[in-house]
Amino acid sequence: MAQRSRRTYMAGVMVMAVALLTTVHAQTVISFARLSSQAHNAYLEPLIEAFQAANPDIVIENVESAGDGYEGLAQTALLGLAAGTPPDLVQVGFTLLPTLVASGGPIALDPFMEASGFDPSSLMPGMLELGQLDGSNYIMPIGVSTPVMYYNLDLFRAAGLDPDSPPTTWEEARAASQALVDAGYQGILWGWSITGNWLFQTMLESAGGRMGMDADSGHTATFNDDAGEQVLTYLQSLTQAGLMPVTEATVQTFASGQLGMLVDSSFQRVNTPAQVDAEVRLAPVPIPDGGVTRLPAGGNGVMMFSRDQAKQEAAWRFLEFLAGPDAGRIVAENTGYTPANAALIETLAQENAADPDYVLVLQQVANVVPWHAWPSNNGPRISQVIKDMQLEVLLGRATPREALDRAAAETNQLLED
Amino acid sequence: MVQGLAQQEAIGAPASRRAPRLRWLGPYLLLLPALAFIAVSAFSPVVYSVYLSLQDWRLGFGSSRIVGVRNDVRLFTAPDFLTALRVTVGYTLLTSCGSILLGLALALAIQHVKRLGSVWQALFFLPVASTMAAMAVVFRFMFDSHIGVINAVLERIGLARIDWLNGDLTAFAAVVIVGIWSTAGYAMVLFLAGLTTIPENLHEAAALDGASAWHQLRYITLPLLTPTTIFVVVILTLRSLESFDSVKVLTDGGPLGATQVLSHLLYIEGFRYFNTGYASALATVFFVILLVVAIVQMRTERWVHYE
Repeated sequence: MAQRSRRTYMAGVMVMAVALLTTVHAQTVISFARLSSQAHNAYLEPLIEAFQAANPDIVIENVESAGDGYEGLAQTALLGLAAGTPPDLVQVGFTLLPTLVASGGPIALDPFMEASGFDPSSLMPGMLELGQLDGSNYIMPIGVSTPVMYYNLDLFRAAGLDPDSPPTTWEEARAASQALVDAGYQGILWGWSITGNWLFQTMLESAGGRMGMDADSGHTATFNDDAGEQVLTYLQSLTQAGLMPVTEATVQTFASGQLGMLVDSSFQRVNTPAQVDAEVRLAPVPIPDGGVTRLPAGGNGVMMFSRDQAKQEAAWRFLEFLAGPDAGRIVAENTGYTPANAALIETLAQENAADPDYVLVLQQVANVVPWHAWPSNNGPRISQVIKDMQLEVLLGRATPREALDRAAAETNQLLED
Repeated sequence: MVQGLAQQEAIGAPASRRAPRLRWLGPYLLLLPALAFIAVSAFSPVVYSVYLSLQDWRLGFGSSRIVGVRNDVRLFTAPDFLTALRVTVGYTLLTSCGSILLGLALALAIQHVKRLGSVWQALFFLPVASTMAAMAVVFRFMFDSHIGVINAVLERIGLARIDWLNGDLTAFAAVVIVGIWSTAGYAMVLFLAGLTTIPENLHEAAALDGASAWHQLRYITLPLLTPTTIFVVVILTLRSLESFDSVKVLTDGGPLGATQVLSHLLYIEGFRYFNTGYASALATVFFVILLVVAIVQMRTERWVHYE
């Protein structure tokens, strides 16, 4: 009897071993180059875990990024392409779309969408457009971030400002900054350095301007119009009056607890307030008198680079998962990104009605406009030109008009190259 | 072939008489594996980089075209490059001179410390052993004009705050200070090793003859330290020329290119703007500069005083 049960036991072990080996063998491994800072791991790790739990036949492997941020990820993709072994999936920022597509590396998602019956209307209007170029879809959005204003309630109270009515216009923001500075604190920091042009576009569009437009002679820079001058004149007047610090360390400066207002990405909705030893609330980005709220969509999505058909299919299943409500909820709960799934946004707004900051971020999606992607391989260089233009003005080394015209001329030259 | 030669070697002289013409090949064959390794690992990237510099190619793109020396012509007419060259020369001179002087001073001071000398040595060597990128992050916050500790100290002692990283000169100074901080310990350790090779009896004899401490330093220590000094100068100059991480993290080449050293410009062109061909042209020019500097410095060895 004992021998028989031992035999049964051994047979069982063998069957399990064979089953395990078959499973391992049947697993498709796809590589994923992604952001891996603490703030990004907070949603990406649970996303990958949830996907793998639901799809045991697919394993997602992490690929180290070659550098910082979205540029580092683009580097990883392009280096992989140069070596002939690109990662199967790469997390990308929306503005790098033209550069990456021009490399010939990314796989258009349209055939997979058709084959799987993917419903584009399940996403918020405009979300898929962020990843479209020349009529093809290349990016599955994970979530969008929008510019938002963080303000320190303790400092508002100390400066005699009403914490329940934060400034809504540029001039109100200036007055509030003056009150804060008079009370011994710092005023407002518009995060001008973020990606080089994101907040500049926000301010420009709210003043009625546009970054660039298609003309007969091709795409040209239009940010040097009156609206552009209005933006830079306003920012220069803030720095010259000592109402705005000139620094790229936005979150750290706010976390020091001495800065009253910070205009930054809503991505920081969860992180930033936790870093400040004070009560922090969110408010819409102030706009100029008579202006409109137009918020360029930041955030990111995922692109496919797989060459192998089996890997492409596995990669598509992950992308499809990202568009769904389960993934959207993970993203929304761990970041300030607004997920792409339309139905989920409604549900989240109802569930979190008691959290006005959260509701604000969700509602802001209604005002989203595309983040301007220059139709040129020189996109990253143009971003640097616009960033340098702002710094020149903020440091008082050029007048807004001089800086705008020089940057526009340089941008047009780069668009032609 | 190799086996044949091995047999000849084994048999010895009679064999070499049988095939004298092939004998010269022996040493080269033995060197071949090492030479092949050096060629593949050290020279092939240089050659490939020169080849890339002749092309208009963007990283990862499927197509490229040969443009000859157009990238080099563009390079020498680009204000970016000329500014970076100027910044690099200034940075290298100041950082290496500063590190060498500070390193020498530290070494001389530590040599005279009877107790805890090795503790001081370890303490000043710590920056060399630490990760520069991580340290630069710390320095970035220390130099921050609003939340930085340096300005807080300046203010405490009654001086004006300095907008370190937004001024051309102050940002450059910050990068140089961090550069010196990170390499002075390296120079110190080398100088300390050099100092131990100077025989004590020379100092004793000089002291008996009434030479002051300054005269001993001037006529005994420094001349006999020249082999070490040459080595330190070569190593630190090359190290400063290649400096990248501190600039990348501390200033990112800014404000407006004021701290843009060649290695950082190379990185930006190649990996931020993805202009691989142009960046390769930059790398080639950079390589030639490094080579020339190294050769010139090695030539100065004829001035070395050996005991």
